[in-house]
Amino acid sequence: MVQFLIKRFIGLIFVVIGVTFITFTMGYFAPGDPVRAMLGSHYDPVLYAQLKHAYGLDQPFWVQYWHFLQGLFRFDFGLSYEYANRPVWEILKDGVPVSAELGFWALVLEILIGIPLGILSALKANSWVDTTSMAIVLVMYSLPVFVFAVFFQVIIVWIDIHTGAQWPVANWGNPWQYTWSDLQSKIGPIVILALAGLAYLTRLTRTSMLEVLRQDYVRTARAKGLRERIVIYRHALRNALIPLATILGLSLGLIVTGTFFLEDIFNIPGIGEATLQAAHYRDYPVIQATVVLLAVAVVIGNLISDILYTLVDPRIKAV
Amino acid sequence: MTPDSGMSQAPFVPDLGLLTDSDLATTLGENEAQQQKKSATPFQESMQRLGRDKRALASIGIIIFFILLALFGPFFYQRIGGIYESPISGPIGPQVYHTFYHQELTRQDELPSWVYFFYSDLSKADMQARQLPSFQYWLGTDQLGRDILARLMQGILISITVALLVEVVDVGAGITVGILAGFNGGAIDQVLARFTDIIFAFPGLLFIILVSGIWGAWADIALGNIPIIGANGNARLLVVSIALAFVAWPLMARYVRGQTLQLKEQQFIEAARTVGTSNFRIMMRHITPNLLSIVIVASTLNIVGTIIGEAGISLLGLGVQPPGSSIGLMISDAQPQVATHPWEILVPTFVLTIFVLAFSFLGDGLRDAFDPRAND
Repeated sequence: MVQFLIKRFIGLIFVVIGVTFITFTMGYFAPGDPVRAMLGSHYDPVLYAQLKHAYGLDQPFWVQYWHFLQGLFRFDFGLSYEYANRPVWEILKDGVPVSAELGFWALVLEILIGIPLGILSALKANSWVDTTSMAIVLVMYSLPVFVFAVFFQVIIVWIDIHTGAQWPVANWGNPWQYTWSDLQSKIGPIVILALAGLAYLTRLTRTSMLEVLRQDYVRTARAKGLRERIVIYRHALRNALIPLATILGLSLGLIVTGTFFLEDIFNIPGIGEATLQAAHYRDYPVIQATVVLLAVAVVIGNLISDILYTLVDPRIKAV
Repeated sequence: MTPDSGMSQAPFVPDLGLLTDSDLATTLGENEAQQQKKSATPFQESMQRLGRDKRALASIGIIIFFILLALFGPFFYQRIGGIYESPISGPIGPQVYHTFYHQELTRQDELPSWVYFFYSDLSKADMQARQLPSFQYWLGTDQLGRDILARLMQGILISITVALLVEVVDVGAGITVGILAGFNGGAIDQVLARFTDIIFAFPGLLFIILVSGIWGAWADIALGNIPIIGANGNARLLVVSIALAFVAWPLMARYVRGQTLQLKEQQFIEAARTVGTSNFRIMMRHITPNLLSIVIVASTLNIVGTIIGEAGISLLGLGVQPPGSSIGLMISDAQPQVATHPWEILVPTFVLTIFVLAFSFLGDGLRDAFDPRAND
């Protein structure tokens, strides 16, 4: 197991270096001179050189990349191009708890609904419960999250107009606080964000459960005369959950992308929204910081998945 | 592949009641033809299976309809309709007001006229009194008085173009690298594996957001002068397409590599090698044709991702720029009006839903058709 994890960890370092390198290179070769643009009509060669030095842009490529890498460990992503002297992290840091909150609850919801639904579908395989839920899941899985967000908004608006309800169409309450008004604005985006991953998780659980139910040890358990409940929950379910441990990384990926759309559509002040703002001002360091942060988060999610996998699957421990 | 024997024989029973003696000769000929039909190639069998999949057939119909609409719709639409006395631009014909970029600022946020047929409480006089819309705009207008149907057709055209562009790169690069990696192994295989790991670490659209966020503004200026692909705010699409293709091809290469690894152990490859066929020829003549099914399925499903990706990136404001049109841009333009004019946001969203589902169902159908055992 240790060997397996070490191998995974080396792979992870390699991927992180690759991701940061691509992100950095993209910004390094970005068209235009940000310092020149910053000075505008107040161009002055001395000031220009000073600013360029302050941003570290006068250094050679590899030195700049090295600083970029070093900075990551201290959450130091350099200075913003748009707001002089403002560190990138300061622009993003208010958004992090909001985005994390949105993603966290979506993930929790996805697991709480997706796994039981998948199990139910597998147990009632080919019944109407199974076919309906699989049809819904197929549609949910194919469609992008912003389509649901739009339909949801239209429905909320319609309800608000016709019943006089004051359900909020956009905005986000206080991060990590759950009064009724906070909840009202949070429920919608969280449920919608959970949908895409939920579909995937349901499908995977169903496949995995069906696979396990076909195994000999399940037949043995039934032949012993065990009650159906024990067969399913003790013998089948535990084994069916093993492959699901790997899904965390993938779900995180879906959630990260979904966050951008939901923050944009529901006007949620998270890092996605901050990054999109930065993109309009061509504030590259902010975009780079977000991309690296999220990519690393997903990679770490994958590693946690792998660790979980080795913990729940006894076969890997033996190797 | 196991042909489902119950179905494949039934349709070819000739109607013997109608035969005369003189037809006998041709009947015998037909029988021979039938025997050849029975041993159809696996590809033909797959197409027959696809032909029985009603959902996939309906999807193909919808996709063809949308493609025809996007290609030829504007041509006809801009020739239908009378002269409109515009208070701003004077008398204009449909070749002006039925374009996707013309703004008729006195005709903002109009519902299409046929919607009012469903409101029985509005008489024609009422409609005239309230200056409700004429039949001029078939799907109404948006917040700037632009024709929604015209913008929609342009948006679908953009979706299809981007999907096509990305798929060319995806299939080309995916097959080349995938075969080389699978057939030769070694360094190419290692590089592909590492590269794929890195690309997969960028979740979803993150890489496209990065590329378009940094290079988008440059593309607007530098590529904006290129006719057709650069004009009308489409310049960024080139950057977006390259980014989408860059993210897409490693997955294709992985599928192809897996398939090549299996194929290369087959006896017909061994036979080819025994008679002295060169590696290049084996790859071109014996492996590539056998990749057809997996490439078709993977690229159809990838089109789903591409269409969603383009719409999504335009929705975030990093794709097509105004006055251009894209389904994503239409959704984002209509967003502020969701409370007052939900129609404007529902139309593009609904069309995107149908379009994406059609490709998704077609991909599913193709997968089942090529590999009937792959069901869960």
